[in-house]
Amino acid sequence: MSLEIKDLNVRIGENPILKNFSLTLPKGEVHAIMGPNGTGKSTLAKALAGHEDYKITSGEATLDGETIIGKEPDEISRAGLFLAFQYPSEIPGVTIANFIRAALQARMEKGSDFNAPAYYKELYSAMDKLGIDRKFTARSVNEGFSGGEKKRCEILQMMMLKPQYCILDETDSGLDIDALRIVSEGVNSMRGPDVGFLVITHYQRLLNYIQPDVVHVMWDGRIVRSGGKELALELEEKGYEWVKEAYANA
Amino acid sequence: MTTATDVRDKELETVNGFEAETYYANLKYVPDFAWLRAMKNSAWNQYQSIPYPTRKTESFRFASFKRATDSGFCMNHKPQPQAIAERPQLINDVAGSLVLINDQVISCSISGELVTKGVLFMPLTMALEKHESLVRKYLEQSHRNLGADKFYALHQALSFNGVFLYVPNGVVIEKPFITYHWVQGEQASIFPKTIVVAGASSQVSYVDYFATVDSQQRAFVSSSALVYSEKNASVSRKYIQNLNNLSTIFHTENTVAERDSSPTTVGIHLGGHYARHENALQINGENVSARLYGLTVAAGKQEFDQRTLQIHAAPHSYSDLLYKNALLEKARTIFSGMIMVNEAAQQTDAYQSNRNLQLSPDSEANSLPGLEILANDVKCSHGATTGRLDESELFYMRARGIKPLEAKRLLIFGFFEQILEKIEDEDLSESLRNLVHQRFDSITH
Repeated sequence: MSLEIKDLNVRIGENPILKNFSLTLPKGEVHAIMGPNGTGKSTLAKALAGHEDYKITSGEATLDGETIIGKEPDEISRAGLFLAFQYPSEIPGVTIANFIRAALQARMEKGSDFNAPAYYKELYSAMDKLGIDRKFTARSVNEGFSGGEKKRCEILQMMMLKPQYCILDETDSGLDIDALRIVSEGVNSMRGPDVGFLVITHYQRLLNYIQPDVVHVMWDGRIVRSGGKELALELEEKGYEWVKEAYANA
Repeated sequence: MTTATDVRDKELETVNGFEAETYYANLKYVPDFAWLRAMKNSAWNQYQSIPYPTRKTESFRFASFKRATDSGFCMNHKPQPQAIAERPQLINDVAGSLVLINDQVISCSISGELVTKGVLFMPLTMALEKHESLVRKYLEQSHRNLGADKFYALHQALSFNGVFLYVPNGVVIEKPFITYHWVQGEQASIFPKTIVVAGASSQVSYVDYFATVDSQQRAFVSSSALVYSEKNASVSRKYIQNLNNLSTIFHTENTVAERDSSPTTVGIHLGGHYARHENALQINGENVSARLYGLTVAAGKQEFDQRTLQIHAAPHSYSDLLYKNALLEKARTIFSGMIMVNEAAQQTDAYQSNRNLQLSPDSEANSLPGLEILANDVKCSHGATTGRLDESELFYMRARGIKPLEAKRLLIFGFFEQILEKIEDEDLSESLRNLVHQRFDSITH
């Protein structure tokens, strides 16, 4: 059981961004993808989530053996893939409570009843864990939120939707230490044999809080090196120039 | 395909408006006061002398002027109250409620406690009989129309009923008053007049709800409202227009705000083949905080023609206008707004915004925002935007598993929410939310 990406090629417009990208994320593991800006980390996230501007020209991506290539974004989400956005959209006039409720209802069979009291109980419990004021349920999704509030709201959605595979796209960027700790605790509380995490980050700092099983280094649209969590420390120490130099001429 | 509405448009061109016969026959419903008769006669003469709008009429710019007609309508169908007996109430917990069919009173109630406090809530005819001088004061106030003068004159001439709500100084009323204006019968017309007077330091909420009994019988409505907000009064006023899509509507609203008062008007516009709504705010005193909101769901071949005016005649006051339109199918909307800041009105804070959500490429949103500022120390802005649903917002919602149609529906309802959330009464806001959502769902399903 895994998220399996094989020889994936993705373009934005005419520009190839992912080049024969391959990765296997087994359920139960946390993998980190690190790399300098512009190497295609966010493209990978958006392409897997089914964004139409990211054209998959060849390759395969499967969730537990089921392809997600060519599927609609909402189908991919319901199939069990969750993307925590780097820049979450603001949705004016749609409250957090109604938004998450709509997402859960989209997963229910037609005609089945939504258990509102149980939903609110769970929602409040998750919000408490993430240090989100309960009043936020009545606020419009991400509207007027600080960077940290937006990221916490992403993790809240992730906790409520219970996906099987989660991609966190630079969730740590723009977070102060407290927010980083809270967000990481949220992720850690979900860790277990039934969930796989792909943590995309630019900085090693996040990995102090979310301990990865595997660290991948990305460069020019593909993974150039994989290793244990010590690889992140090495990167921190040597910087990305080292990757550039090592692989630019390879 | 030719729809019934198309055929009617053509027929109308050959028919005249209201005849003198109708005017004189209708006078028997009007209380026999010389001043009132004189007022009506003068209005009738005006109606006859003012031409119908043409392509060149500036105050009807962008409007399909041929739709701006009163041709082929008649008055005084006998009300059949049993037809509305089963209709749900918009709100149940009210301070008072008045039901009119074709401007004739079906029922009227007001809480006894409010009567003892001196609150008046009654049909206009009754108010004229019981409180002539008080009502006369407001009827004789100059009423500002924003260009539909022919139809306002017609309203003045043919209007014989409506509602009079008077809240004495210092009386605070939490629950809303509501008037149901039903139109019944083929080509029936109504001319109701609303007068709301909120005394100094009073608080009141009032709703006018307009609806047709039958969805296939076209109606003509030419109505007016005067909302008078005395010193330090707080008035919340709602205009809910839910007539059928064949109807022709003219409404002229005047809000007068004295110092320290805070009037808010919310308009919900759903029905009509042609629906013209004129909304004029006059700020006469300092430290006024006035808000004008509008929400329109336009579909089919509907046309909503909305004209607004915010007059700041005194310094240190605030007004904010937000009109939001959702356009589907081949609908048209026209927003023409003007902020006028007089020389004396220094330190004015005035805003005007028109937001159009174009959900169909065949729809058409016209916007004419305007400012006229004679004072030199003011904060004013106006703006209009017309856009479609935001693709990144849609993607975000779909990335949470929400299906495309439901994602769009949620985004559109979110667009409405910015107006609906302004309605402070929870029962009323929920009821109006349902009304707007049902209207939207009935178009898209």
